[in-house]
Amino acid sequence: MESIVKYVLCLCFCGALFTVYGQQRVSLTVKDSLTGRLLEGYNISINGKTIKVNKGNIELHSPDKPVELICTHVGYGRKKLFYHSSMRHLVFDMLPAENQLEEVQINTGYQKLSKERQTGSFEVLSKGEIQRSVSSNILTRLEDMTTAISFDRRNYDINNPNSSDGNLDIRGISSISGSNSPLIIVDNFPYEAGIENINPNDIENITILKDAAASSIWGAKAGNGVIVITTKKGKKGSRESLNFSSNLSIGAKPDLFKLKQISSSEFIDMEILLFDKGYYNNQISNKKRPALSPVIELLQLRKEGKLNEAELGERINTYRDIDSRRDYMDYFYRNSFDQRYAIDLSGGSDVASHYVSLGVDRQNPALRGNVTTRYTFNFSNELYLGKKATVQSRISYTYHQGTDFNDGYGAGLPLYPYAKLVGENGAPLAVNYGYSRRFLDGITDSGLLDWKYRPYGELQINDQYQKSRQLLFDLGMTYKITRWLGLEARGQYGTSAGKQEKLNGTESYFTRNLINLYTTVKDGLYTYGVPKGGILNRSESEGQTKSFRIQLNQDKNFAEKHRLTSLMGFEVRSLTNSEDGTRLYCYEPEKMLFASVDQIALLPTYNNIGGTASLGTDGFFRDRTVDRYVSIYGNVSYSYRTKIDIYFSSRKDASNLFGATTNGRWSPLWSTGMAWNIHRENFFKADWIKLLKVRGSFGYSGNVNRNTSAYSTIEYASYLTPYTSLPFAMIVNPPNPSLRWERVKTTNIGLDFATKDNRISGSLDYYLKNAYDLLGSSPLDPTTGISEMTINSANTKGKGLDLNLRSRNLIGDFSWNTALLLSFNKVVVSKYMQAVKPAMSYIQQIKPIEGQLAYAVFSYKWAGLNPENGNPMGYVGHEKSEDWKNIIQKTELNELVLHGSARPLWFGSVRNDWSYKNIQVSANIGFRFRYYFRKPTVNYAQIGTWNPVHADFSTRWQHPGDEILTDIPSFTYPNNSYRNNFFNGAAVNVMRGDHIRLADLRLAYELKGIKSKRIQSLSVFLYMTNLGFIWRANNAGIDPMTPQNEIGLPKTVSMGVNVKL
Amino acid sequence: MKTYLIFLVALMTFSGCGKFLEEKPRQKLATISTKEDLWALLNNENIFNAMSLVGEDLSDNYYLTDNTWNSIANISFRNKYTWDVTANDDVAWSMLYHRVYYANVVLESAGALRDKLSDSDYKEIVATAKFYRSLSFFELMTLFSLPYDGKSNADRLGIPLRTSSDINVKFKRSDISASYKQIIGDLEECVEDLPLLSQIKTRPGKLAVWALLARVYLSIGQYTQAFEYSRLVIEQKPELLDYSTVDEKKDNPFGRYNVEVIHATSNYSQLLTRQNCYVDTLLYAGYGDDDCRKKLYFVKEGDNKVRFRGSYAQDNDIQFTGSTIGEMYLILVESSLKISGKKDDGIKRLNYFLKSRYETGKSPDIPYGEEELRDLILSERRKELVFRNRRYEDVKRLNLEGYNITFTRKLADREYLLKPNALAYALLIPLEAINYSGIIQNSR
Repeated sequence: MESIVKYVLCLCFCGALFTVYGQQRVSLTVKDSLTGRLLEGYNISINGKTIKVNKGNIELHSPDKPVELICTHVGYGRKKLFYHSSMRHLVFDMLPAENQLEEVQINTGYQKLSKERQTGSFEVLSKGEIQRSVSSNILTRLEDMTTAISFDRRNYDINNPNSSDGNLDIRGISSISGSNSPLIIVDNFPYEAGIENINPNDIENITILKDAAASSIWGAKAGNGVIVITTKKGKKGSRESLNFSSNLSIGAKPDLFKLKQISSSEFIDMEILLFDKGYYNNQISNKKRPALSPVIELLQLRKEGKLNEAELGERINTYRDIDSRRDYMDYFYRNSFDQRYAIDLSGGSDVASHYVSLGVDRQNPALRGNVTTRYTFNFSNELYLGKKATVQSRISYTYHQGTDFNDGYGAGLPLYPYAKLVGENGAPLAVNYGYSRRFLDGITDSGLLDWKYRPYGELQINDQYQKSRQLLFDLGMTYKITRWLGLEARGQYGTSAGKQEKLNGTESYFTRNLINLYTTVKDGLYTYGVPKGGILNRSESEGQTKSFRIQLNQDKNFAEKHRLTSLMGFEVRSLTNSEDGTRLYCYEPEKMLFASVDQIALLPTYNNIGGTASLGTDGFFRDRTVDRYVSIYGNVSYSYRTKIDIYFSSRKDASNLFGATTNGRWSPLWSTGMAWNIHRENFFKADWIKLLKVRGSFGYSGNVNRNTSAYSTIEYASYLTPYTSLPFAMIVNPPNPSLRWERVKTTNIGLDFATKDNRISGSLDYYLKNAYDLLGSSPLDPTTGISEMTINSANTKGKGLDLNLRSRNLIGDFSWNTALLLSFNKVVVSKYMQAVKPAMSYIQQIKPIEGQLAYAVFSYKWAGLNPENGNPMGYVGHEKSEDWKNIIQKTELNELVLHGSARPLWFGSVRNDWSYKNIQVSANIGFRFRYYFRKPTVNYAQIGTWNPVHADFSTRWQHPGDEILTDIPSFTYPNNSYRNNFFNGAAVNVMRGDHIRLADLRLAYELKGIKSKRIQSLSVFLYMTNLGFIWRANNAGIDPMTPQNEIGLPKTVSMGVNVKL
Repeated sequence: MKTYLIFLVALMTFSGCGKFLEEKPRQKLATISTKEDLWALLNNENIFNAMSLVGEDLSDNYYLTDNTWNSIANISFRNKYTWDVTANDDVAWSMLYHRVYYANVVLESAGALRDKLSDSDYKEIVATAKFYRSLSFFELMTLFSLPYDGKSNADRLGIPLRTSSDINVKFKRSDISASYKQIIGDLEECVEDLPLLSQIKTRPGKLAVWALLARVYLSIGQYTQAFEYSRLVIEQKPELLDYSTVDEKKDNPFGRYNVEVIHATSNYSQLLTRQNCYVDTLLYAGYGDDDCRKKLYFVKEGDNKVRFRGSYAQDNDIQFTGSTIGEMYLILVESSLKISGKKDDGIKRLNYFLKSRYETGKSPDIPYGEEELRDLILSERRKELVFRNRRYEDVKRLNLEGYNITFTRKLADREYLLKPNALAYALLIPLEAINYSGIIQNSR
């Protein structure tokens, strides 16, 4: 340990402002807060007057009023301290600019305040923490990097891997039927366009507002918590700097063979068995000629005597070794590959500062045919007009373009598992699909188009793209009316447009099928209901946001020990979104020609396989939504001797969503909080504790659910009645005059602490988060004519804990820091209008139940398999039973097994950062505890369809004695749906989700001491994610994050370089 | 002070924002505020013109093979086939009360907009909604209450006569006579306010109301009124389709809104699709070769298997359940036998009816014997209204009159029976309805 040398700086103060009691020696220490190294060559500014100091002792007249001392140093963030007469010693802990965690001011979107004065619960992610990972979506970079935020990846889809990115909540759920997504603010206004439009490289920091005192300034939309994203800006008086960064990521190709399925051979045996039982007879004789699998077609030929037994066996055997997943893996999937480039320029003078950036992100997801490119451009500028006024402007433009292909493995209708998709020479092969092969092969009418479906051919000719652009323009002005009063006006105008086109060319199955279906032949003459040619589906969307805010800010010290800060504002917002879609038949892209078709008439179908049908309005739609808000808000905070802070905030919103009655009844949302900086008290002598602060807050925020209304509303259908051509409407909801907005009440108690040199620092928050008047779907007596209705019917009670603990284990050349993030959240439904009966509905779906966890996993009691026949057994009363119908229909809720929550009650991460000279290593370990999931298993109801049969089928009960080895019931035909539903809902299929995994690992090397004066720094890094499990409670090899997707989350490897000039 | 001033300005602006906040959140959403909105609800064919087809599901006009029955995944559909509808199978209750709810919303909204609507608009809207409510109540009575002959056992349980859309108002089951009184009362009241025949076949006119009254009265054995109302319809609109001129080459030979259709309603049932069900063999055998219906209604499919294709909804899978002139002739003719002095009128109409159904000059002779005549009429009724949802209510009525018709089904080796006047004729009410409102369940 280096010894700490103190450089004492004494500054002389003479001014009429201060009454001088006498000169006093105050020692000042300026040091690097991370390494503890003492710094030299800094500036000290006292009430606006700046003095450059190298080394030396300076004496300071001790004033009787608190004086603001600001220390600045190149490469470090500003540090502000208040000095008053009782102090003898001041320490400036300077945080390196790239790692300004504590120094960042809390930005609520309405004001920036020092963290010191906050009474609420906040969490700030610094630029360094944001840039630690590489994903293009800023939200996913929060995973395992903060407390309280829990990500839900249960719906992860290999064909659309980004679709579950936004499923996150802050401190658990606070809405039942509405969204649980937090409100996202970018700079000053809610960000309504997709968050994927934001380039993470443009972000300075992220503040998470967790409790009511933090978020209730956002009123009716803050119930789910608020994430405030602050973009990078140029700094006044900073030198021009240019940053360039580039990285690329490679993600593992999804291994379809991790999906547990029975082999094609077993599947074929199953088909033979079902065929012999007559299962397919209806399909074979069906006039609509549904597709049959090749094996069924062969079996039918055999039955008709057109094939002998030996040939049959031989031909069936050719299918037994085919697994369509092989072709999917080889021809449909690839390693995902993403490239990201960003360049930015920032700087500032005394009159203006600027930040300009350009970013290009190109994503090639695992499913071929999908490519997205995002271009982002940002320009932000601040003008300082004299001492009183500033003007901030920002323009951000995002352009997305990409191609889409949807038909990956498992998407759309299933194919029989032994389908061969690609031939020897790489040519697409036709599979049995749509209509039976014998029907298609028997067609002699030459005027029809080829009617076969080739999945791989569809990928090759896929022609679907989307484009979107978004422009946001922000303008803000601040003006200091007096020294303590400022006026601020801000506006934002945003416009966005999107376009999507899918050309189903004449090659595509969609178009060929539609044309053929509506083709009729009479005496060799063909009549085409749908003209021969491509079909273009196109849709466009358009959006507009307009926001305006005017705000008065006040900040004043009174009688030396009181400080009052307040703001008051008025805000108007309007959001308009519209979309429409059309379809062009017989479309010729070269010349943009299209033809008219009869969409009304009943058209005959080929061979009458589809009866008669009209084309109708498929592909056409048009809609428009408008959200409008008017709000007034204000807050006031009072500080006594910088020791005690009291805060109060209030906001009232009105919106067009609910109607006048509801707006009028809406009482303002308010919150209050108090903080006590114990370490500032005179009695507090423990030198080794630098920060000790307790804080408490209480208040309300709200939730807007746009899916319901107080009035009885009707919705017009987008088309006319099919035969009488009249406009018609549906009742959307019955009148609900007592409709109210959802309210969330949060009580938060927190403790912030730090020891000397931040060796151990952190915060601990305990909260109660109760939500009232939640809109819940409440089942009704079906005799009312409505089976359920969304009303303010539910309350939830939540409680939780957020612990953020950081330690600097080693400092110096070799440094080692650890961050532990631990969150607990438990939400219980304290009121829910009506219980659903029978109890089985809670097994089929996770639904709210009064008095239970918000996401409770239930199951039927399991009594094993019957040793005689392999039937699953449950309980009726205390008796073992195979009366599945009764078990399902009569079992009461209290007779079900309650496992626990479907969402982790405990979650968090442990991150270790090591650095030695130029090398940095960082590893993040994520964990989730106390939760359950239902594992995929064999579903006998699907047998006979082309859905893959789960591999559990192979280990099913087949002979007496098997019941010791397996829990999978025997196979019976026909399927007894009660038996199957009972087994699928039985306790034996529920597993614990608890796990610890190595979430990521990062290695970085920074080239220091470069000779060139141009390059300030250069670093390279390697970053890997989803590296595997350290421990998991289930021994079935299932990734409990994505229990329904046995493939799990892909491993990724990224590497990149950052250069600063 | 300044602060307060600004705050006041803000407050004033805030209260001036009324207009700004009146914008509709979604363009397609509307509160019910105009005549067009009310008609748009009544035009919702998916609601009002899709009454239940459960009566046909429960009837003996068709059968399923074991394979088809086994391939039906929905257990409530299987249960319907074997007359074992459980309290968990909501086969029509919710659906029909949903229609009642729509009608009540229209009635209440029309009341609230009374001043904005012209007198004739108001009356027609109210009458149309009442017609549909009565139609739903009648179907509910057919399915959920025991047979009723218009006289005895009038205090048996009917249905909850829900006449309010307010979900907080509870309704108990009224007795049978009160239930029919409600249905008939509303219908007789709304006749006045409707045009004779609506230009739109999915909307009711006077003729549709009379036709429904004739149907309702017939079903409870009130033949005098049934005769009167069917006569009123026929006098206004006597013409029938000449079946001998209908093109049998078409897959569905009858036009959707052909001349016989008084009011069109139709529905789909999984049990009754062309692909799933076969026509009852004995029933098919009952059609003579000169009977045009034999070729227009049915297609043979080898091995004596016959499929139904004669839907007036012009579709293979959607069955017509509305009222037709043909049905009116049959009601009139059947009722005329029960009323003194009307028999000759009845026979005259029967002759006219038969001519339109048989090949020219081949229609059957009218027998002299009272009983034979009645048998002919009943057999014509069954043959005419096959797959039209009428058989179930007919059998309920006829069994009270002593016809002793037992429905039987065979599946695998098991035979299922629905015995005359069995308790099973009143289906079990869904458990949810019993649990929430405490109404009395039908006995078993």
